[in-house]
Amino acid sequence: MTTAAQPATPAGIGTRAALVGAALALSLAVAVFAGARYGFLLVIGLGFGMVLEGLRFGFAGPWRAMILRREAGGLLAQLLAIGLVALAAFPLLSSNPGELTGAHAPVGIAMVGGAFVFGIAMQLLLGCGSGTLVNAGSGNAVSLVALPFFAMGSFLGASHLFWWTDLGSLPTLAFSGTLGLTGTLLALALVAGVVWWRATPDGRSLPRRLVLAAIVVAALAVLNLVVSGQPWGVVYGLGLWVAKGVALVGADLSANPFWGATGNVERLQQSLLTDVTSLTNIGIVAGAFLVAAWRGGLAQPLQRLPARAWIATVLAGLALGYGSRLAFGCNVGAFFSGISTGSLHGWVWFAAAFLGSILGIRLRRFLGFEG
Amino acid sequence: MATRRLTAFAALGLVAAVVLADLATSTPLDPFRAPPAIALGSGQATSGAHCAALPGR
Repeated sequence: MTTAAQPATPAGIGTRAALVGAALALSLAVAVFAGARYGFLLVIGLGFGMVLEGLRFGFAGPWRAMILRREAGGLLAQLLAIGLVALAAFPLLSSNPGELTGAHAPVGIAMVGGAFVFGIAMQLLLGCGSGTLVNAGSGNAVSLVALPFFAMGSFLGASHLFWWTDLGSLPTLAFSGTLGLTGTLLALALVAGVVWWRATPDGRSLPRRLVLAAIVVAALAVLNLVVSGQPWGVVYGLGLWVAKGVALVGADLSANPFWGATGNVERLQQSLLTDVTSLTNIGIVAGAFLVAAWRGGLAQPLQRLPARAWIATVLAGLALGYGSRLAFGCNVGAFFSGISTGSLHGWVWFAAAFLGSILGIRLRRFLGFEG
Repeated sequence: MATRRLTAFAALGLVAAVVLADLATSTPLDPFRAPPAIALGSGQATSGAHCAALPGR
């Protein structure tokens, strides 16, 4: 996300009008030429990008702040947003099982390992699944370099997913109904209490900006569920982009257990403008760009890093994508959407990725990202 | 000195290139065969793909 290191000169009224006009025109064009649902989803993605960049609501940074400085605000805001989504998602999923689905996945050996690796990678890049898209859109060079490799990792991880799940998985376990919702909210409150207790006295506050961001992100996530029928996700779309490119240059993916599955064959044939996660991903990049340009953040100079940091960026990008596929989602698809729709794997993902983050933070300095 | 303007436009360009290449090679868009605007209340099962979903073998 755009740093506030230098005072920025906000864009003029004409530029701002052009930015908003372009975003609306793009969404309208998708609605007219692809279908109203897809136009809605692009608008929802734009909303995610704007609020994540505009209100600086993130995942990797707040985890880093909690681990390094015991500042809890950002992590508490995440838990608040997840709880708000759960309040709406649990009853919606229970009463509309044919139309809506949760982010439910099995806990397994590879799932835990994938989340741990994702946690390391997201701290190296200081960008998670959504964060890498937001940061790239707002001009962060590390995220821009990492993004294609994130997508390639997602494609490769999906390609190998069945091999990894065959190592051992539990049956999918999802909490539902009033009991499931109550348990989820109590567990979120318990985690929030532990986070609050472990924070320094000065780091326990939840700024109004983050409360507002949590409410808006939660509202957008519920809208995503209502409009598309599935929770907010990021990683599938990125892997699909690479799979389409691989197929375009002549590779036959029909024999691959993942990409050759019926639903994925259809996704490979249809336009990206009809794919749910692709549309919200595109919207996130564009929405972050819009906010960064609006407030003049694009005038900031690019950061300079040693060669080993750029090599680490490439490898961490691949690990981010590969790990998140094995983990059945990133911070969005597994942590945010998994927990808020009752999946046990979301909680396990949280624990494993948090441990990975502790290691990733230690590796940052060693790899030349700091100092 | 290079600024974030360069990389931000590069990110937009990357996404635009992916979409345009895809439009040139995928099944043409047809808004008349699109699903209802909102899934909730449509009576139709979800047709999208999600990171948490493991396809059947």
